Amino acid sequence: MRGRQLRRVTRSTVVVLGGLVALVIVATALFAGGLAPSAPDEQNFDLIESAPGAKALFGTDRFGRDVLSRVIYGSRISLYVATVSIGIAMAIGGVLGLTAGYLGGAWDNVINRVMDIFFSVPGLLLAVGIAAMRGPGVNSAVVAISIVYTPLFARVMRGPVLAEREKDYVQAVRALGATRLAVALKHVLPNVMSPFVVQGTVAFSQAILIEASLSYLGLSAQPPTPSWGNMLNEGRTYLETAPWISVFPGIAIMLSVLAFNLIGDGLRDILDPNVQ
Amino acid sequence: MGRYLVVRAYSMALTLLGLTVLVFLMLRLIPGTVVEQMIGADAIVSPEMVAQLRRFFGLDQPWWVQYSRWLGNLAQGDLGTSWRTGKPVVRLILERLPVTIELTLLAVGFALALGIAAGIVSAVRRDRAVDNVVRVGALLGLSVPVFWQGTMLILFFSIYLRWMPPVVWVDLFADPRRNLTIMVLPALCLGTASAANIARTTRACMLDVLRSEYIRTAAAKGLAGRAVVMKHALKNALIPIVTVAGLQMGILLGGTVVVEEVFTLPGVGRLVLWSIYQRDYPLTQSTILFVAVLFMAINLAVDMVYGYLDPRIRYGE
Repeated sequence: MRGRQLRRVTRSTVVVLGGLVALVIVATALFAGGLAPSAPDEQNFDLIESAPGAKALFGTDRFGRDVLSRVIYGSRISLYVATVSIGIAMAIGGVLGLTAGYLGGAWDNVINRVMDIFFSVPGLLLAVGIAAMRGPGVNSAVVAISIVYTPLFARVMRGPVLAEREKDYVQAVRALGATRLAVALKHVLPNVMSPFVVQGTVAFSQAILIEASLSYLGLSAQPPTPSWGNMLNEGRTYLETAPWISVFPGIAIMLSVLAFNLIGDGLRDILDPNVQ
Repeated sequence: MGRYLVVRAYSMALTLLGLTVLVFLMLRLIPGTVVEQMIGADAIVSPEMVAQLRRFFGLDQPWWVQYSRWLGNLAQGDLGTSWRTGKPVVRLILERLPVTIELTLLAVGFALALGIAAGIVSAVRRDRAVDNVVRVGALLGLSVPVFWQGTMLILFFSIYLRWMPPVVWVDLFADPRRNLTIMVLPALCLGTASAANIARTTRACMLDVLRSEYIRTAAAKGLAGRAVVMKHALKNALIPIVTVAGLQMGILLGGTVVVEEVFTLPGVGRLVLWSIYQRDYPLTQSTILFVAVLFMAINLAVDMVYGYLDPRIRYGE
C-alpha cells in the first residue's frame, strides 16, 4: 500500500469506524479471560434462565451459564476460523492465481478448469457439504471455508496478473535478465495486491457468517465450547422462556460481519482501481 | 450465439465431469460407510454379515470400478437408487425440488422488488435521509445471519404478535394460501442479503446513469422526473442489476440448505445434508450434481439475458 493510499485509508470514516469495532472484537477475543465475568462453562444453579439484569448483564442459559461470558468466549471460535481459513485460502489461492496468470499455458488451463469445478456448486452448500463429510468440528469448518474461498482468491489474483505481465516494465525487467520468480514476486505481486486485500476483508466477514451457519447446523465447534452459532442453536428451544440466549450471539455475529464489511467497503473505494 | 452455446455446453460438461470425480472421491475419503451407519456402533454383527453388506452396496469393489459404474448409469440418465430409502434418487429429488425452487423464486422476487425499489429511491434522493437509511439498511442486511433473522422473526411473530405459521408442510398446489403462509418467513430471510446486494448495485448503477448526458437531455426536453428515471435511467442500468440478481439466485440456491433446516422445510438442501449424514453415496453424489447443473443453468441464463438487454453484446462473433 502506498503512502498516499494509506493516508486515504486512515482518513476514511467508514474504514476507521469498521476498524474500531473490529479492534474491539479482536481485543475481546484476545483478552476474553480477563473481560468475561465468569468462565464460559461455569454453571450457577441459582440463576437458571435468568433474564438480563444486574447479576448477569446478558442473562443466563438453561444451565445457569452467563450468556455474556459465552458471547465473549464465542468470539474466539469465529475469529479463529475466519482468520485461519481465509489465511489458507489467500495463501493457496494467491499462489495458484499468480502462477496461473504469470505462467499461462497448460498450467493456467488446468487451474481454471479445477476452479470452475468448485465454482459449479453454490458456496454455502459446498461448505456445508464438506463440513458434513468431514464430521463436526472447528477444523472441519476451517477446511470447508478454505476450500470454498481458494478458487475465489485464485481468480481475483489471476485477472490483474494477466494484465500486469503484458506491461512494458515487466518486459523490461525480464530483458534485464531477472528470473521469472523474481519478476513475479518482486514486481508483479506488489502491483496486484490491492483488489486481493479488499477481497480478503470481504471474504473475512463472509467467513464469520459461514462459520456461524456451520456452528448453527452443528458442524463446527461442539458444545459445551461456546460459539455464536451453536449458542443460537441451543437458544432456539428456549425462545419463549429465554429469548436473550438467542438475541445476543446474533447481535455479536451481525456487529462483527458489519465491521469487516465496512472495512472492505471503505478499502474497495480507496484501493480498487476499478471503482475509482 | 449458436457457437457460443456449444462452447458453453462443452465447458459445462467438462466441469460436471470434474465435479463427479471430486464429489465421488471426497465421499470415499471420509471415515465410515453406509454399512457402519446401518449396523450402528454397538451392534454385534459378524464379519461375514459386514462383508455381505459391503458386497451388496458394491463397496468391495475398487473405487474406479464404483466410479465408472456410477458414471455409466449417469450417462444413461439413471441417477441411481438411494441406499437408505431404497427409492430412486431422481424421485427423491423431484419430490423435494418444488419446495426449493419455490423458496428460491419467492426470495428472488422479494429481493428484486425491495432491492430495485430501494436502490432507485436511494439514487434519486442521493445524500438525503432516505438514502442514508437505505445504505445503512443494506449494510445491515448483508451482515445479518439468515438463521438468526429466522429465529428473531419466529420470536417476533409467535411471541409478540401471537401468530405462528403452520408447522406441517403443505404443497403449493394443494393449498396455496396455507403454503404461502409457511413460505413467507423463510423467503424473507433468504432474500434479505440479496435485496441488500441488489439495492447497492441498483444505487451505484443508477447514480452512474443519472449523470449521463442523455438523461440531462431527456430532462431538458421537459420529460417528467418519473419518466426519466423509469424509462431512460433504469433501463440502461438494468444490465449490471440483472447480473447481480442472476448471481444472487445461485447464491440463494445454496442458502436454501440453511433456511430449510431452520424452518424444517422438506427441500433439496436438507436432502443433501441428510444423505451425507447417512453416508448415502448415490443420493449425495447425484443430488449435488443436480444442484450444480441447476446452478450452471442459472448462470448461463443470466449470460443469455445480457445479450437481450444489451444488443452490443454478441456471443461468439
